[in-house]
Amino acid sequence: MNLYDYIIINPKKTETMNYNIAAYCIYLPTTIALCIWIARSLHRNTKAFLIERFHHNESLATSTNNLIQTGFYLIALGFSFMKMRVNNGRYHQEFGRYINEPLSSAQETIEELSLKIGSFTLILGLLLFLNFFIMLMIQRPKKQYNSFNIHEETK
Amino acid sequence: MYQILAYSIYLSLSLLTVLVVGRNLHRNGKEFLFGECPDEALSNSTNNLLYIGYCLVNTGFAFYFLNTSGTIGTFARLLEFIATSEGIIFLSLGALHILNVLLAPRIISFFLAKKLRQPD
Repeated sequence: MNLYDYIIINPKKTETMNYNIAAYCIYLPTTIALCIWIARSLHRNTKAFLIERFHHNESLATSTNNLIQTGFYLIALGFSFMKMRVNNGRYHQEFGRYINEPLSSAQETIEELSLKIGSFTLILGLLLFLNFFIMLMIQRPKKQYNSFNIHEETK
Repeated sequence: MYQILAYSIYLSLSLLTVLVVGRNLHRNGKEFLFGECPDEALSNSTNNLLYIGYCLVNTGFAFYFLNTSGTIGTFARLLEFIATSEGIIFLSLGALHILNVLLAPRIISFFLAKKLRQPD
């Protein structure tokens, strides 16, 4: 079996630019840019709320804001990466495992991409509300139980 | 060839994210958890202990959940492998982080309140 056979008879094993890689190259920058945009706008706009909530303690509000932003980035990028794999419902067996057929046409690629990016945008919307709930539920160690007061009581 | 490339990219990326996120949390968590503690040395050392625990748990997670099922034959498969594994790592890190942000102040309040009631 020479190289010619390998390329012509089993085209699935060839290393060519196919629609899958093009779809990934569009999907990844789009979702990462969306993530960064939403996270930055949240970071800008939740600061005033947190300052109000923590009784005008600026540094505490800034650090809490950064913590919430980190959580948002992790969850959103995690969803975007986990949902990236093309899943068009057509399978073939490869090395004893069922693997999705690669995308075969530009039409299929556009359909798949719009489905992926739309579902990711929906997830981002849900995450935004999750962010609001975290902001409402967050608190800090209560003042009367701080170690400062413990030192005072035990002394 | 692709297999080794995929594993090395996955491991280096996930370790990098764990360390970068950990440093971010280490910097911001000190003010969040121990902002009102006047004992600087105590709050610093507790913060460092939390950071070490975080790093151990998450690097262990990243190494342990290396997905060894399936053979990676093409570049598209390589991208899919890295994205899916990294997605799982990111999601679990994020879930742990949000739970921590919500629960850690309450846990600290709870234990310190208990200690206040029965001082040793």
